[in-house]
Amino acid sequence: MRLNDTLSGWLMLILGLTIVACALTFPPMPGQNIGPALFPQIIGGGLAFCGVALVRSGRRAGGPAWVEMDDWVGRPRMVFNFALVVGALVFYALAVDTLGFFITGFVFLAGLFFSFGVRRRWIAPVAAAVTLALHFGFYTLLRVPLPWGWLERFAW
Amino acid sequence: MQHVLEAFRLVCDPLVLGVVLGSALFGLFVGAMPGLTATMAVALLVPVTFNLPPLPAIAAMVTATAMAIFAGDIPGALLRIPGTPASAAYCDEAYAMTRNGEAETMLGAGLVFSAIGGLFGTVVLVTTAPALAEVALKFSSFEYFWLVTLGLTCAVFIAPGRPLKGLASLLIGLLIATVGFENPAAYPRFTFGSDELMSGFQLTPVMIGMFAVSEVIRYAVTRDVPLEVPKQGIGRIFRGQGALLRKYPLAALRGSALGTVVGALPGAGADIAAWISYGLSKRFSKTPEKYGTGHVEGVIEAGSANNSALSAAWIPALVFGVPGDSITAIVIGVLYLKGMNPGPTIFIENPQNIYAVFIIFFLANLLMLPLGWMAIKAAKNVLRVPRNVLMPVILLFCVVGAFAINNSIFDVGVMLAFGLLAWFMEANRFPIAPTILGLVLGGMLEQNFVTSMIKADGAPGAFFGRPIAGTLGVATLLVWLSPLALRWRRGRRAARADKVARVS
Repeated sequence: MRLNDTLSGWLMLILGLTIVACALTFPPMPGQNIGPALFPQIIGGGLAFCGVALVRSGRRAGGPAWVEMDDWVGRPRMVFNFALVVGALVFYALAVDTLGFFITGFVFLAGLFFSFGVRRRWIAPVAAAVTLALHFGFYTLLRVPLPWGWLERFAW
Repeated sequence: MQHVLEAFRLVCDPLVLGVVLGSALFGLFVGAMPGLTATMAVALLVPVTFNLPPLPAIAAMVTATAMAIFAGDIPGALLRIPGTPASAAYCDEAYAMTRNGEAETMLGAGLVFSAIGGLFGTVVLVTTAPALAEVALKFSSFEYFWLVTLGLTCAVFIAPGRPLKGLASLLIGLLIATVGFENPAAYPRFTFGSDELMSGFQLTPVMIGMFAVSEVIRYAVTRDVPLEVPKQGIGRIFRGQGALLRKYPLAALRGSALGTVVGALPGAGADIAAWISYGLSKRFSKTPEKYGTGHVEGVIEAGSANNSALSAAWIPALVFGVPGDSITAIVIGVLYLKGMNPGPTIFIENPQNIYAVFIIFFLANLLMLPLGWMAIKAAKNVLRVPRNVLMPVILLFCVVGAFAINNSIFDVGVMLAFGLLAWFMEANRFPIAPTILGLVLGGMLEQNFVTSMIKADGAPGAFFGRPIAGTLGVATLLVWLSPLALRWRRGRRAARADKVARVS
């Protein structure tokens, strides 16, 4: 997704001004004339400056479209893939504590393999093998406490 | 001398040697796979090396990146797809050589001159870093403030594209660095009441997001074209390399030297070194017309430049804690995690550790020759690994890796957010490197600025009061003023031309 420079500029200007406004509420450092607000104010001011400059150059360059979609947006398959990658990560974050790493990891991989067009008969065995391998690497070797969830009874 | 012997003893530890070998193979694979970058290799190594002692953890990163930058040449030559951005500059040239039936010469040159460049950069690193550290010991907050500012300035102006977008990227990075209460006033900023954000964004999930998740997203939205691996075998790659070295010693030397300088500058790494070097090579060549038709000279020069840049990026990283590129930005985070805080004192307190890192650099660049030879021989099979299987596996690895640092699901969310941010920025031509530098250096910049302001009691003149600080300060201001000066000159020239046109 490509934004017109004018639009990126406006967004940046708003972001910069919001930061400056937020920073105004920060308390000063006692006994000093600079406090925690100074740096965010400089950054916010800088972003606002960049915003204005981008709006100006965007205007000069012209171009009617505010938002230009990449050509993949026209292809439902690619839009689906994009949503799937983001969705898979959200799914993992929400489900892993309940379902446990094995089930979540397997579903995560199988779903992505499926929509990336891996051959059907390979999906389940590869997903299972990779999940097991990652679990062995991180849980057994690196001692990361990957959750067991529903499989708590079988924990080792 | 005693420290050097001690360093050799540290390196000869079987764990260290095993890690070097393992990460070398990992680096070769990542580099040879189009769509996976050397920076990504480092980001993925962070969680794996989390529980390792400092030396093997650093050794893994040194070795993996050196191998990955070389291995990026392999698919460039065979498929016309650069394995890492650092090979993009001469990818067409390399492929043209393959079509002329010179694949062996090309791959051999890529390997040999990568090693030469890497060794050159390492020699410069080993000789200059300790000497610079002596100077850096005398630095006060004023010098550090200007040094960081100059580094960030370089990052903005060297980054590809418009400096305005580079500046915006830098400010975004600095903004992210302000989150949390770790600032001179210990006041929690932009935490939105979240406990997790109190200590700011953790570097590892951010880096995994920006360098690995963003690549997976990019893969997901582009049509996966199956790689057409050439069928013919690859013969003796080392044949004729000695002759090339005798024919083009200047190209190898100039590439290595330029790569070292570009690498040592903050914000510019191996990829930019290769582009500049390839361009210069064409300009200074006796046969510029041959470039683009499968001429090895540019490959030699740019191929040594990207590996020397990789080593040289460690000079400012180790001496000042100012990363020379995105890779060393991640490494600096790891050094802090391991208690090996970068800065001049590291050369005094733990000289054996630093010498050991230097030895690893030599080892990695020498090991590149046999392992790289193996990688080239195996390339046909490596490139056959299907990316539609690889990318989901990498994504799950990212998730587990981000989780592993703090055992927190929150970090998985951070990783996703930054993956989307990096992907979006790249799509809109905002360079990523300034953001990373701002993120890594933001705290240091503010700390030194506030300390200096308090010392100076608000008088800005004090920032220029010491010789080194003054020089750095003036240099920084000159770089910032240069676009204005250029525009003014251009404006005057245009006005003059206008006048001449009107008179005649």
